[in-house]
Order: sequence, then structure tokens, then C-alpha cells
Amino acid sequence: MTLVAPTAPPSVSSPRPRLQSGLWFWQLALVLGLVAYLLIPIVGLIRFSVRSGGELTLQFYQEAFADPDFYRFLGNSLWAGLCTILLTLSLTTFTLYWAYLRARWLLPLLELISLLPFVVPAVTLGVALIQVFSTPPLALTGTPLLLVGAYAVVTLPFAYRAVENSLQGANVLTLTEAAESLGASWWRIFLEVILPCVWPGVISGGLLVLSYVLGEFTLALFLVGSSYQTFPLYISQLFSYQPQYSMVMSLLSFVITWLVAWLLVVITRRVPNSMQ
Amino acid sequence: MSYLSLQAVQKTFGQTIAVHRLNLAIQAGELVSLLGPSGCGKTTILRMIAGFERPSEGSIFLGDTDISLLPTNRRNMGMMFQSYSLFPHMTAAQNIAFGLRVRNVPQAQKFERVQEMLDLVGLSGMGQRFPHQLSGGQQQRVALARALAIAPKVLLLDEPLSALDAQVRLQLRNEIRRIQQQLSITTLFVTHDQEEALSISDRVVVMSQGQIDQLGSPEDIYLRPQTPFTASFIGAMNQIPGTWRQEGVWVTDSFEPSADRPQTGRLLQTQTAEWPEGSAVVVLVRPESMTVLAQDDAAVTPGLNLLSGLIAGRTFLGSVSRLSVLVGDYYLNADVPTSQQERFAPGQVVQLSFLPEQCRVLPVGDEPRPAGVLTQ
Repeated sequence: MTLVAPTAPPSVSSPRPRLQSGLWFWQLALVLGLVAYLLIPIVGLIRFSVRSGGELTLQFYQEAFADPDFYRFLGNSLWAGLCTILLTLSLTTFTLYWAYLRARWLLPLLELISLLPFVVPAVTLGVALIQVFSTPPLALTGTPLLLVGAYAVVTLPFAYRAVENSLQGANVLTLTEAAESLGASWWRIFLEVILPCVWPGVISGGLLVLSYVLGEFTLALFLVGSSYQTFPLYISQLFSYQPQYSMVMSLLSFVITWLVAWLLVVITRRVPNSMQ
Repeated sequence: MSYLSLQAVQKTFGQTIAVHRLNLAIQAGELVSLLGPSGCGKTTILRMIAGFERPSEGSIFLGDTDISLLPTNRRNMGMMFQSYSLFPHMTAAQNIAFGLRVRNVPQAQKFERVQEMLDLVGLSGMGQRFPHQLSGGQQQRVALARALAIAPKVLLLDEPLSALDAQVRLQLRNEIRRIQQQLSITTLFVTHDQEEALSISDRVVVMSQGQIDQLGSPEDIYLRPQTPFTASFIGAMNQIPGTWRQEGVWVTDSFEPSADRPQTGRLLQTQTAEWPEGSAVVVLVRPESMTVLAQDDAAVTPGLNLLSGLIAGRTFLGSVSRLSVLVGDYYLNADVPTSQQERFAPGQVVQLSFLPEQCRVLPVGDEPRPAGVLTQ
């Protein structure tokens, strides 16, 4: 009879290698660092906005909500944002759809054009637009029309990228031809077939445009100034003589941007269904 | 009078002629396949009939109406595409109803028609599913139902089965034929798959370089090819170049005879034909028409063509094995039943025998052919 020395049962799970656990620690540290980097300024803002003479108070919030200028200038910004969304997204969506159907060779050129706003600083664009649009017959300086036009240009990269990604994912040509063979007109195809397919891209493009416009300062300062004061201009103006009040406004601007974005998502999600 | 006809239709893209002065007449209720290799112009023809492309020259008639310039959305033609073309945000039922909605069909009638179409394609009860909840085969069935729902004048199918796996393809192909016959709908089917075309068509149009190479019934195309291209494109075919003589076709053994290797040859008995004496011809024999005999089996049968050669290779094809036999300088393909494949091994000398009736003779055209025997 042969005796066999007892052996240890095979371990179910091998211990995690040292290197991996070190990596895990650094990953967590990186994520926490990023969260802190984003949250600390906001926490500071909140803390500063609720303190007066060493005591906690909501006085500045009450004043903000009672201030008619708050609603007026916020309304100006929102209105400019919505008009910009409408203009940029219609231009982008129609142009890209047309290019996908009839002129694919044009796509690289369109992409290049869409990136141009990134290489033109807002100050340069602002000064250039004033030069061009300050004399008749195109005396538009100081009007919201010029501001929306300028915003449409600078937000083009955001809208372009979002819509283009959606169009790339949808089989646009075949879907159009299928709908056409079933008797649909061009408008019907666009509204009932193509738009619902690219809707996620249109929504995210719209959100990017809106958040850009609600925080944009330089172009507004150059092109409209006090004649069509936007919310960021108002905050900047307050900052010089009522810093704490401007903190409250900044915080509200942040919250409102989130709220409007959320509202836009909720509303627009329902639209494709109602189209059918 | 034909139901759909193309008269001298030409389509050019820049300097490229995609379709070259093509004439085609299709009868009502007929299923005609356009068959050919990639780039032969078959899809361009379909797209011109659908209205997605305009002919550069010529006219397309539906009955006695010239529809060449009619917009696609006014042609009333149902189309099925190669890629899945269902509207992704609509259910199967909504997809089928789309064309009816465009035509303002009343709700009750529309509902009834959608159910009828779902039943027809075997998808009853699946109307509420979205395309992403359906398999590829089911999506193509919905696409077929959608195309048929509008009661189109012509059904256009642009390689609708090519994205599907083999089994589903076979099943759906039979379904398409059943539905086409049930509805007696004039159908044009574009494919590069010869088996698909031969199995479901009333007539097959074999296309090459923007022109019709041969038009005929599936049997005509397979058994009586009129050109070397059709012969080589449809199924596997041995092509043996030779010279036409009164008593048969003289076939030489080698391409390049030399002083130390004199030219030898043999006379092949073929189907009767009327070609000028001494003209260059090609003898066409299908691999399945050849009988392979081991050297010991070979018995001289009067009137039978007999070629001696060396087995160079063997390919297993399922029910048969294909032998590649070197005869002189030529490789000929011959099929043997799989049950007998063990009798034949590479390096073995065998005899190939075939009946004169199975040898079709065609004159050599201008089209370039690779030297030696063309096999598929």
C-alpha cells in the first residue's frame, strides 16, 4: 500500500496580484480627484452664497428671486439659446442629410468648415462681426439677431459632431429610398423617417448649444453689450459691486442650465412618438 | 404587349457605361431575375426602373406609359433592399402601414391590410415588434410585406437575401416565389447567386458588362448556354478550345508544341452545329456530365469521347467530389459520387468519358479568355 502525502486543496481563487491592487487604488484616486475638482468650486460657491457676517442666511436667494432683472436677463439668454438651437440644428441637419444623400464627397469639406470656429477666438470673431455689421444696410450690431448669428457659427462644431454621428449610424440613403418607393414626399421622409432616426443626435447637439449659449460672455459683451443684456453679462456686472449676489446668480445659472437641459430631454423624447 | 419594357436604355456614370443600350421586355405576372457578377449593371437597371436613377438614353415603359422621368414616389413600385431597410423607430405593423398612410387609406382598411400582409409573410402576432426585436429573416419578411402592402405595379427585389444565412435564405427564397405566384405580381429580382436565380425565376437575364449576355428560361440558361460567359458563369463548366471540322472538334493536347514535343490531338464528337470549317470553337462540358473510369475499367464504347489524364487534385463538395484531371496541358474537372471518391486519388491515371450530346460547341468570340481550360 502506498501512502500519499496529503496535499492542500487547490485554492478557489488566486490572490489578486500586487500590481493590480495598486492600479485599482490609483484608479479610485483619479476618479475621486476628478469629482473633487468639479465639486469643490460649486461647494465653495454654495458656502459663500449662504453666509453673511459669519451667519447662515438665504437672504441673497430671496433678493435674487425678487429681482426683475434676474428674470429679464435670464429670459434673454434662454431666448438667444433657443433661437441658436433652432438655427444651428436646422442648418446642420438639412445640410448633412443632403450631403449624405447627394454629395458624400462634400463631407470632409463640411467637417473642416465645422471645425473652423475652434480656431477663431471669440474676441476676434466679435471684433470682426462689429466691423462688418455696424454700417447700413447690415447695421445689426447691438441686436439679438447678430448675437444669435454669431452663436450659430461658434456652436457649429457641437451641433455638427452630434448630428453627423447619428446620421452615420442610420442607413440614411436606404431608408430614404425605401420611403420614397412607398410614395412619401421629401418633407414626409425627412420628418417621419430621418428626423426620428437622428433625434438622439439632435437632442445632444441642442443641449451642447444651449449650455454654451447660457455661459457665453465674450461675444455677448462685444456684439450686444447692454442693449440686449444676457445672463452672464448681468452676473459679471453684479460681481464688481455685489460679489455675493453674483455668486447666487452664478449658482442659479448652473442649476437653471441643468433644469432646462433636463426639460428639453423630457419634451423632445416625446416628439418622435407623436410624429408617427 | 409587354407589361414592363426597357427600350435602348443606357446609363453612364462619367466615362463609365454601366448599362449599354439595353432592351428588355417583361410580361405581367412574370418573375425575371437579373443575374451577373458585381458591376455588370444589374442593380443600376433596377434602380432606373424604381426611379432612383434616370436613364442617360432610352425609355422605360410600364404598359404604354413612359415612366422614365416619373419621380420614384409616383411610380407605385414596391422595393426590397439588400440591407435591412425597416424604419427603426416604427414597429413592424407601422412599417407595413407607412405606404398606406402616405396614401391616406382609412384606419380600418389600413389595419385590415396590415394584418393581411403579416399573415401573408408568416408573421402574424409580431406586428408590435420593433425591427431590433426581429431576426434578419423576419426583418426582410416585414420589408416584403411593406413593399406588397401598397399593391405595387411591379415588385423590385435588390439582392434581398444576400445578408441572410444560408438556411434562412433558402426558406425566404421559396416564400418569395410562393407569394409572387399567389399574387401574380410582376417581379424583377436582382442577384449574383445563380442557384437563387435558377430556382425561383420564370426567366433569367444573364448580364455582363452592362449588356444582356443571354436571356431565357432557367433550363435554357443552364443546359443551353449561348455564350462562353454564360457557360462559365452558370455552374461549373469545362471549356476546351479546339477547331471545328466536319467530323467533330479537333482538340490539341498542348499549348506550345516544340520540335521535341510535337503537337498531338484528338477529335471530340459533339452536338451537331453549323460552324465554318476550321473556325476556332470552344467545347463546353459540365463536370457532372463526365464519367471517371479507372484505367482498368476503361472499355472502348463506340461514339463516346474518351480522354486519358492524371488526377491532379480532389475537392470534397458534399454529395460529390470534384476531380481536377490533367489532360495534355489542360485541367478538366469531373465529378464523382462521394461514395466512390476513395477509388480516385491524386497521381492516378484515369479516363474521362462523356457523350457527344453533352458537348456543346460555341464559336470563340472576341472576349478575352484565360489560356487553358476555364473551370468554375
